[in-house]
Parts: sequence; C-alpha cells; structure tokens
Amino acid sequence: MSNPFKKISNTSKETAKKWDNTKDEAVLQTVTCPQCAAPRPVNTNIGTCAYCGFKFMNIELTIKPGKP
Amino acid sequence: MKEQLIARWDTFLQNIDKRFEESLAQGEQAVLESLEENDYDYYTSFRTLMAIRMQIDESVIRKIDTTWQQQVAPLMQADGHYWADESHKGYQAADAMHERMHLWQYITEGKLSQKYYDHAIELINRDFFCTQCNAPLQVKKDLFRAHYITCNYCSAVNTFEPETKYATIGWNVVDNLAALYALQEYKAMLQAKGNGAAAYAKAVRVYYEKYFDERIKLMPHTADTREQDIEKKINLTL
Repeated sequence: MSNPFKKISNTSKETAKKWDNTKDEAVLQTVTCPQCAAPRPVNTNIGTCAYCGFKFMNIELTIKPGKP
Repeated sequence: MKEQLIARWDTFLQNIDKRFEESLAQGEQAVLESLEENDYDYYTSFRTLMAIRMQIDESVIRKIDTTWQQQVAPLMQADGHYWADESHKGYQAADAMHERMHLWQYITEGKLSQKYYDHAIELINRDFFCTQCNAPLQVKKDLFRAHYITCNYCSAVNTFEPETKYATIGWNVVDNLAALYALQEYKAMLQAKGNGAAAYAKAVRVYYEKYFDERIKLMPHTADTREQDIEKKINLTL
C-alpha cells in the first residue's frame, strides 16, 4: 500500500522556495591588497597592507589567530 | 440500546486510535524518505513534517469530535443521561492523541536531523588548500559557518565559507539532534509535570543539562556559554 502522505511530500518539494544566495560548493578566498595584491597575514593591522603599507581602511584593528 | 450505543462508540474510538498509530508511522516514513527525494533540502522536509502533523490533526483527531457531535451525541442524548460520561471518553482520547503527536513530532524532527547530519557532515570530508601558497589547510569540522583559517606555511588569512547544506547543520539540525539524544530526560520532564513544582523544576534542569551537553559534543565552541544557555532555557520554561 502506498504511503498516504506521499502527496504532501511531493507538494512540499514542488513548492520549495529557490534561494538565490545558497552555496553549492565550499569557497576559500583571501582578501588581497588592491595596490600590491599581497594577502592579509595574521597578527597584522586589518586596515593597512603589511607588505606595501597601503591604507585601505581607516581603522586600527588587528587580525588575531583563531582558537585552536 | 444503551449498551449497543456505548459498544459502537468504544469500537469507533479503538479504530480511530489504530488509524492514528498507523498515520504516525506512515508520517515518519514519508518525512524521512522525502529527504532523499528532495536532494537533502532540510527545510522542505521540515515543511512536509509540519503539513503531515496538521493533516493527522484534521483527519484523525478532529474526527473524534465531529463524529461525537454529529452522530453519537444525538442518539445517546435521546436514549438517556449517560451521554456525559461517554463525551468525556472522547475528549480524553483526543487529549491523549495530542500528547502522543507532540512526542512524535519531537522524535521525528530528531530522526530527520540525524539523517540530514549523516549526509551533510560528509560534504566537508575533502582537502582544502591555501589560496596563496596551495599548502593544505585545516578546516574546523564542527564550526558550521564561515571562519578565518590562517595558513601555517605563508600566514595568509583565508576566509572559508562552507556550502549551505553544511552550514544548515549549525542552524536547527544540531538543536534537534541534541533534543533527540536527550529524549529520555525530555520524557521524564513531561512526566514530572504532575509531581509538584520542585520535582518539575529539577527535571527541567536535568533535561537542559543533558540537552546542552549533547549540543556541545556537536559544536564544542558553544561550551563557553553552557551555564548561561542552561539558565536561560530553564527561566523560559518555568
């Protein structure tokens, strides 16, 4: 005997909302300096490029390493 | 006439109880199977679960009241004064079914979450490499959200954003899983409702301690707020 609730699960599937901002794959990216393209190293000021000194944000924050 | 009417009413209540049990079993099966059919779309299966719950409520539990009102009560009221006791029997059966359905939903949410978790946790079982030097990176496997990963070789800060199916684990899935693992404590908490305020308060604490300990096993970084989380939930419940 077929499951009487099959129709409900089919309707849920057919009416499922399609979200625009879902990610099908995990992504890795690095923020790079717009002037020299260097990445942000850990324990450096977040607003200034550690390699060329380019100031791309006017704040004084440091990127701390994550908890192990 | 009285005995015949009562016997028919009892048979109806027995049959409806049997249909209710069958519906719960079929409902659970439909919810769990829907997860594969919709390519592990957790929230679509969750909507299926809620719709099935409503369907069982409308087509089975409410049937007791409509049958009583439209068919049984008029016959019994015309026959004598015993109808009040028989009416009580119907309300008791409906209340008991609501309680069973509440527990069914609790368990089915847990089973759905377990099936989803077993699938989605595997999505991250692959290698990730630094975008700058291509060295292997250690992705935190129990942090179900975007996070920074510092490369041990070049010190570049990489931003890791998991796929949505993996991130979904950290939204409702872990909560429902922790609840499933604390099922015995939950049942004890429900039973303690009738045993006085102190016994109930104790059972509530035992439940939330177990719940959050299970949740911490799934998401270790939530251990920092264990005590606050438990107290908050207890205050909301009592």
